[in-house]
Amino acid sequence: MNQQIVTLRNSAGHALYCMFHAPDKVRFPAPSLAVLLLSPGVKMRVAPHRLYRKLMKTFLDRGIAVLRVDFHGLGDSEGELQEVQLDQLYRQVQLGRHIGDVAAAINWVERELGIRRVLVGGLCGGALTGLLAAEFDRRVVGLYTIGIPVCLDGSGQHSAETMTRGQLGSLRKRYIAKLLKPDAWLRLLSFRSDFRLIWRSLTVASAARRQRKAVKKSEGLTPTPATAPASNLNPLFPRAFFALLRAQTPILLLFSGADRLKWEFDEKFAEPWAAGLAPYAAITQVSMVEKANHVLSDPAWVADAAHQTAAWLDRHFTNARAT
Amino acid sequence: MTAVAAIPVTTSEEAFFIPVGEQQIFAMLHRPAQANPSLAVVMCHALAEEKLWSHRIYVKFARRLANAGIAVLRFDSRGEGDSDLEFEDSTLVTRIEDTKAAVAATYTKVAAERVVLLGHRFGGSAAAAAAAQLREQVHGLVVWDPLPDSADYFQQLLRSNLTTQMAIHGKVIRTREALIEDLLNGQLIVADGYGLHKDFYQQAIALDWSSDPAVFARPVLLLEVAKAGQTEPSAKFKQLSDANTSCTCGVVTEPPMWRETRQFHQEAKQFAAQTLSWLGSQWPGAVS
Repeated sequence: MNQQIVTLRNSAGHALYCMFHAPDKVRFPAPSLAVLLLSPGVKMRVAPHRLYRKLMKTFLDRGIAVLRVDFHGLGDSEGELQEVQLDQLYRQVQLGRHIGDVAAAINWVERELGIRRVLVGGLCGGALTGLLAAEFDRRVVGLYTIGIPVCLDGSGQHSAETMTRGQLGSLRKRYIAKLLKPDAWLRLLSFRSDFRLIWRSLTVASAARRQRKAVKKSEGLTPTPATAPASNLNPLFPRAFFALLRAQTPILLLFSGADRLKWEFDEKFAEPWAAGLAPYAAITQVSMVEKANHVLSDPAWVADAAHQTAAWLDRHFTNARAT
Repeated sequence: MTAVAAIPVTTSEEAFFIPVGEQQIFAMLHRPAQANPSLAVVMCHALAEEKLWSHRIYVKFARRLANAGIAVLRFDSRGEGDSDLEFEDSTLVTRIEDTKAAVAATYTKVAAERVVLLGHRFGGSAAAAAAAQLREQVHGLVVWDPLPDSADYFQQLLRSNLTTQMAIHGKVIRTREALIEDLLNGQLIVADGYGLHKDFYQQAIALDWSSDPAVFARPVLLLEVAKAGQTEPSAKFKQLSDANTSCTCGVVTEPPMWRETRQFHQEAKQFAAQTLSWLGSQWPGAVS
């Protein structure tokens, strides 16, 4: 494999340690497209179980160069992060802490490789950072996401307030099943249960009906949401997402079937903004890896993700090798 | 929020590949400010996802050591990080070979007089086995959270496979005992996304480094993570220090930084403090 250690610097002067992989030089002597796979959470440039290494072959086989990026304060890179709680760290990522690192990486790709068109993204926080960075960088021609979060972590809110209908529906089934279990009643009567969560899970269906009525009353097919945004929705998400769509940037949204993030995406973004999203259906692809967990830890799930990635690349970037 | 002490990067860092046969391993050398450090530490990481969760602790401790005048070489074993091979093609043997290559590269790069191996959990087992083979080339050994029983450790690793079964089938269809049987029959068993195979498993459970006198032919520091209420080394490690005058055992209170918790683990303060103190006591002039 043709790989090269890349040490680049962000605008603050931190050394960012990255790994570059060039496609086969005989088949693709002059790549014109690169993908930046961005550090997911704290799992650095390899991602959980080296997921990025497993997926990058799909890009390389299509003549797309790969740069796996460590953000400042994470992985091997320089820089200090002050958070001691993971949710607080994730929140800072979700608010765009690392978009300057992405810009530095794109600059390196353009300066050192002469490649002016890039795809950005990755898993979870890497996907979101790609989205937020792309809003400000016209060199980004595609957004590649696996399990992109639409909500902010570390809000300090009670979890019952921020759960999706899907999550609450699932919980409701579990609570109903527990009615026949003496242990559960003992827990309930000893006040060890989360009463607020139980109440919300049991009442969510009627709330959803009321919400649907409110949606029907709303007018217009604009990027204005049909319902009030969820309290923990990342306010940067809709703005950046629609900016990419207006620029006709293809977006792949891969979600795992057993991950709450698909529910969150649907209920907190896709449904309220359904009207605004409709004109861009041709460039917005939402796909599922059935039954998969957040990090795609089964080889079959990785293979499925790679297959769907390949199909998306072939659909939108077939000219990568020629241009 | 508690502020995390910033460690100034006054030292230099160099990322490079070390050839191992036809493959290569990724390495990061942390050079101290002084030109000729007398002591170098080679750090062997924990296994699989435990490596990733504890990675930043290694990075920051390496920088702290470099600031104390000690050269440090961190590396990714083959099958992990940015090194060659797929995880399922790596074994304990490849990890020992990689450690030996990292020690050789350290001597080449920094011309240190002494090299100490430091390993975390399964990385400690690999470091101990490599130290035994390298004999006088390794002058000290530090193991954070040593694993006295590899078989038990692998049983714990398989827990994530059961979780995956629940996701796919809605129930556990292969118990851990059945998975071990499958493993021994040549099947690849996936845990946390990492493929475990028979050779690796058999090599790992056969390794009994704590009974190997060659491991203790140098100063050894074993730092056990305290269980609830524990203040003294457990019997197993107490016996080791009683039987080997070179061996010091300690107990530290550290959170489980090798797995997902709610904390962002950047430092292992007690591991770090006790290790630095021990290095200073063993080689007084080497630690500033």
